[in-house]
Amino acid sequence: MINQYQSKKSKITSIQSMTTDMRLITLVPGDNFSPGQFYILNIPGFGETSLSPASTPSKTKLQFLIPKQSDNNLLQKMFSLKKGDDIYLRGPYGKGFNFELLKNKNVAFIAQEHGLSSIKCLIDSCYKQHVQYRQLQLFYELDSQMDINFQKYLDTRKKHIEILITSTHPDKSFTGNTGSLSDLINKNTILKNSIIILSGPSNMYKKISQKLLLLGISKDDIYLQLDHEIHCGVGSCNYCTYQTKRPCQDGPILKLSEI
Amino acid sequence: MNKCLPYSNLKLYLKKLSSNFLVYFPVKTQNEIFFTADKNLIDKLYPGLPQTPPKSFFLPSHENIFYDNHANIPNPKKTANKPTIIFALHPLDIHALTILDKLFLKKYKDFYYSHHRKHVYIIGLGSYTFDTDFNCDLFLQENGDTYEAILANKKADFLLDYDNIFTKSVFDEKKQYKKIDPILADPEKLALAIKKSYRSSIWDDLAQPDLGCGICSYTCPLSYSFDIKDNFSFNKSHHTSRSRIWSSCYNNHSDKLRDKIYHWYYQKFVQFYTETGHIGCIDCGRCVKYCPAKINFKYVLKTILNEYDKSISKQKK
Repeated sequence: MINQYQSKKSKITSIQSMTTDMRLITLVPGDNFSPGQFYILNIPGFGETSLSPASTPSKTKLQFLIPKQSDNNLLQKMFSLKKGDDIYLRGPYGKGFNFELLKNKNVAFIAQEHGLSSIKCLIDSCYKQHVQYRQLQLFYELDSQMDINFQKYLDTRKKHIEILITSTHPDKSFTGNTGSLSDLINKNTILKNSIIILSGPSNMYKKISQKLLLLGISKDDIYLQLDHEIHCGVGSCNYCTYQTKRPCQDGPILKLSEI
Repeated sequence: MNKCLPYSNLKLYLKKLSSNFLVYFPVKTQNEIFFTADKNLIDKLYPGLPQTPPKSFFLPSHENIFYDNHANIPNPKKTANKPTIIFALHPLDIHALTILDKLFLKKYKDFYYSHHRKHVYIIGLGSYTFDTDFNCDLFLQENGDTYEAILANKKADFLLDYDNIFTKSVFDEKKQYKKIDPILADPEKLALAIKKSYRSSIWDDLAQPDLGCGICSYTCPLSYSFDIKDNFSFNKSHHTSRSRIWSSCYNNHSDKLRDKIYHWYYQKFVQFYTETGHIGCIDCGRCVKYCPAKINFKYVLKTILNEYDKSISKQKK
């Protein structure tokens, strides 16, 4: 019988600083997964955490955006890892995102800070997999300082996606909007006939969902990325359940109307 | 040939089994029933409902699932070979274990649960059974001053290889089934009522006495929430380990206690029912007995059902 909790070792071949609070780690080997699925990463002695890949499926590399979180021992440790260090992971788990839902629709990704790590793969997959969407938008609140790698990432994506970025604590080099995510949505229009995908801390979901519903967007068109709620990853710990839905089995991207 | 065990031979049977197998049996100490494998306590055999449900054998409250020496070695390395018997398991706990087996052996295919469950034989003891989901290897059904030996698993017929202890049964095998409490008798209606009850004031009222301690989850035979945590150790052979630890339906992502309490009921009577066809309750009464706040879940269900019935009558008018 397969041990669902058994991890495999992966080596970190490169680390790129994206912001003061986010690093992109590259692992080898790569893996075949469906965009939307997640992995459970762990460092023995520090625990496990669920993260969605930041790269699209590839045989040669697997990337994750690691957030800096001082109240989490494991993420603190992962943030301090160096090139050549080992990390363990198991997965992929969950269901891949159904890109057919985006056919002939506009897509608005709404993310706050580390939430981008959970949807970066989805954003890139949209145009790499030739999904027949109409237009892509990214509404993003970033409160940490951007690094040159992140600026490059945004610049290369601008031809595919309308990027609207805001910060509540902008530094001198920041050229985006000032204010919260909520202010950003107030100032800029979410295109009609949009599928919305939210990614960020749980307290952001309630606030932004309520705003979207007031704007007349249907609950069936709002999706929440719930990978950060996941615990065992295999559906048996009962920790992440929302009524009859388990993000680790049925998601982790679930419709607002389902939960 | 049907066999029966005279009441007076029960402890002798246990002694005979203990000489050949590892046997866990219930004893009473300090007013509580616990399972033990200590052969010196056979004379204190006390069949009944133990404080700790049988899930503790197969989903231990604290289990090391990995030791680390840079190879992420799983624990256990070898499967247990010695046949083990759980003796005089209460019918309610047999029912719960059957449902857990369905979940952890078939649905989740849990590596650790299946390891613990292998080579374990269940000998039940009681006055009634259940008409569905009642899997044990041998059931000793109370019948006056004897126990009717009902062999459910033919491969476990070695459990009856004690001719000096068993006698020929003169009674026909008569099954007595557990009577279901009317409150729990309509799981479909119960699920609907709870789904519609989110805004009920009962959950806010319960948040007053409820301590959020989780004892109801720990003592529940069907509650299987767990945490996975890493531990440091100064042991030379393995410095870190990863453990699976019992948790509670209260330890989920909800912020407010009233939402956590609602989640407890939702998980038991809606989610569990939707996923398995059973409610997540066998009516053993442990959560009521051991609740420090003296909360009785049946009172809560009765209130919810009454509110549901009233809302349906209003709609019809």
